[in-house]
Amino acid sequence: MSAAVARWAPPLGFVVVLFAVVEVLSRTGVLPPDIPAPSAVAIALVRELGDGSLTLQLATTLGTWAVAFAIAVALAIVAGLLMGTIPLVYDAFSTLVDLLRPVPSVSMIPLAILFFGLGAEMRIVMIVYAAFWPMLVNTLYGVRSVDPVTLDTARNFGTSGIDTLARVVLPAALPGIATGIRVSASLALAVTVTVELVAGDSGIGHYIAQAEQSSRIAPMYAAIVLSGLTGWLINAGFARLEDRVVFWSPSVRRSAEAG
Amino acid sequence: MRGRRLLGLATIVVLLAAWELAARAGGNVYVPPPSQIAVTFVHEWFSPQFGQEAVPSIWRLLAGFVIATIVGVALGVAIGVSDALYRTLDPVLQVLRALPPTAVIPVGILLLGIGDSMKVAVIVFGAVWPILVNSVDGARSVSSERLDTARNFGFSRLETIVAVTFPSALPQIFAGLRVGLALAFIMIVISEMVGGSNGLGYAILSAQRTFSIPEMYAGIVLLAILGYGLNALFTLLERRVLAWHLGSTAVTR
Amino acid sequence: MTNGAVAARRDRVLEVVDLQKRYGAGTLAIERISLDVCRGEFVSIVGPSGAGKTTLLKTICGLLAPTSGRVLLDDKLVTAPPPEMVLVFQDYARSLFPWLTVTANVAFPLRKKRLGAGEKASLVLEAIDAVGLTAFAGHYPWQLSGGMQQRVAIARAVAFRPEILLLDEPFASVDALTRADLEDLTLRLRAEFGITMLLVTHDIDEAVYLSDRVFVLSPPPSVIVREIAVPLSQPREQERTRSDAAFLALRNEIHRLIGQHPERTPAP
Repeated sequence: MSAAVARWAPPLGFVVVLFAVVEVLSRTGVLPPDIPAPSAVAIALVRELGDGSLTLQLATTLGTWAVAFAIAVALAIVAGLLMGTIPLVYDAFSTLVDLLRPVPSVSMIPLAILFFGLGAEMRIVMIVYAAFWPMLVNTLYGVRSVDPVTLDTARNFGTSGIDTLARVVLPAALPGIATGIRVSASLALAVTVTVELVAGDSGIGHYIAQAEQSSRIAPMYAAIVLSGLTGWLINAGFARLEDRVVFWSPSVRRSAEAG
Repeated sequence: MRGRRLLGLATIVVLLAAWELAARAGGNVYVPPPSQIAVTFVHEWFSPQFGQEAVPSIWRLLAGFVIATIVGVALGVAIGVSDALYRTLDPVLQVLRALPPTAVIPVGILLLGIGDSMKVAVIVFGAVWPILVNSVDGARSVSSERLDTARNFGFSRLETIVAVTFPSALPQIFAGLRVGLALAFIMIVISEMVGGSNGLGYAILSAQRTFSIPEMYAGIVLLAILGYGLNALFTLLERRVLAWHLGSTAVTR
Repeated sequence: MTNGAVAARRDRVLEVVDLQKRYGAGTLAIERISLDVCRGEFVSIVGPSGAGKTTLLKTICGLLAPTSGRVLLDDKLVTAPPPEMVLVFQDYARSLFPWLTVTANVAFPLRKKRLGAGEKASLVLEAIDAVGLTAFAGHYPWQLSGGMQQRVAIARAVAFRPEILLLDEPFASVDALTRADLEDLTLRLRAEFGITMLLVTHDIDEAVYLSDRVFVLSPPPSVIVREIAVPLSQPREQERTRSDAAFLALRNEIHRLIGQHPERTPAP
């Protein structure tokens, strides 16, 4: 208990002091009206969540995010396993991956609008495209880290291809896959909000853009705070999952991120 | 080795050829053949338009990224070497890092308008967190033997940070810079799409809105080339600066 | 106390008085240690693993503050790392700087010395030459073997021209042949540069082979069990010295002393 207090007291204290300073500066008119008092933002957050207007947008955003993220993960794991276990496939596509991966995914937004309009379909396609790359790269990293000796041993014992995949390759690739899931989850949320902001008709990103255009300042900040907290929860949740999956090799996360 | 590269290139050639044939046969106006995109690309971007649309994007991107680097590394190392600062600020940084960065673009527009300063500011905000967080982690993971060595030879705290902590943290700083660069790209494209009157993000979105389809593709290709090129330049710099790190980790593997 | 009196006559350079070290409010690492080292002497502190040997060295050279007691260098109280004492760590891979070449690693501490560029360069060259690494001056540490990396760490310490070299199990991470080489290198450097040596090790043979005097440490919380003079002839030579009857008698005595003091209390 006292350990938790010692851990959370300094950051909470910092945030409280910071908010108090902004509160005073905002109320006394030192700050421009475009920077509202934290209390006004908090009230707006509670009100908009309470009357459902922001809750609905949050649900839309999370729904889009979940569908697109699941598709991206499934596609990337299949592609990663194919590329990682069949050398011919790897040789044929690795150059293409290297070429496409550094391309900023958001530059495809106009293309996606052209083909899919402004609805949910377009958003999902964009998010899948963006989240696919880190997922693929981390899955590949995991699959290719499988010890060749282990593979030979499995082959020696006459294990079939599917069995080898399920019992040897997948477990060994799991740390890479877990890292990919965490990184892609955060990226997918960022792209969801981005696409809603640029060309959406619903979702938190759309809400933020609308609030800005109609000068509803406090609700705009409230929605940004909400999207930050959502991102933090998603990241923390998947980081915990990752720690559980890779408990035997704590170094995996660091090296995968650095590499 | 050469055979593998050739196979990789062959895949790309085959895909482009299939696209070309399908586009010529299908006649879908949304999918012009690559040859037409290439002609449009040369026509559009080997022209003064490059100076009007691409150059502003590039300089905003670089300015924002450089500022984010300076701020992120300086603050990150400072937080990393101080236990008190780390304990106070790390949870706050984790929340700020998880914020979808483009969500702050409307704030930028509200406070700074739609000019260059808004774009540079939101790029800094988008790119700074991974750089900052990685600098913190890098500064905290310096071995105690290295710090003791410097102290043993009479180096002051500041001298130790400059001569030992900073170079030790460089591999992790570069990992953060790579993520920061990708985020800077997202921020410049989106800020130009949402609040711009020029720049590549603005150009491709308005090309789409006016159904100038080949021009839209040519703009996306230019953005792709810029993304790929800057990433390649960054990798080159990284190999140079971190030659010692890449060498030493290759030895221990 | 008579030993202290003798040491004073032989020009005592380092004196540790009633040193105690406790970590925070918790573990007592060192209960009470007093020892002294004379100018030009080679002194070893030998003790079982976990006897707080590294803590002792770090406290002596001012990297850690003692809980009580004091450390005197040339009769001056040590409160911060003094330039006259340099510590060589066991883990060379962690103490060397992988982004610097051998030459730059050795030159690193000289940034703090007010010398001309030429003087610094000649100190570096001389130190690298003394450890036999002139041919590898442009290499990076990670391109060298473990033994060679420890030579770089020793050269870096020697180039700084300390009065005393503190060696923290410096040969524990290398193979047996390299170890013998490094031991003899240390003896040579002592003769060549007149550096006083204070070594901590858990290797009894190594302590006897190298030293003029050996302090035997108990398990933690550490005290000194015995001080033993090593009257073996100089110069020492691996095979001859180690097969000397006096050598064997000394090492057996120390073995017995350490064996008599098994873990007193498990560290809390």
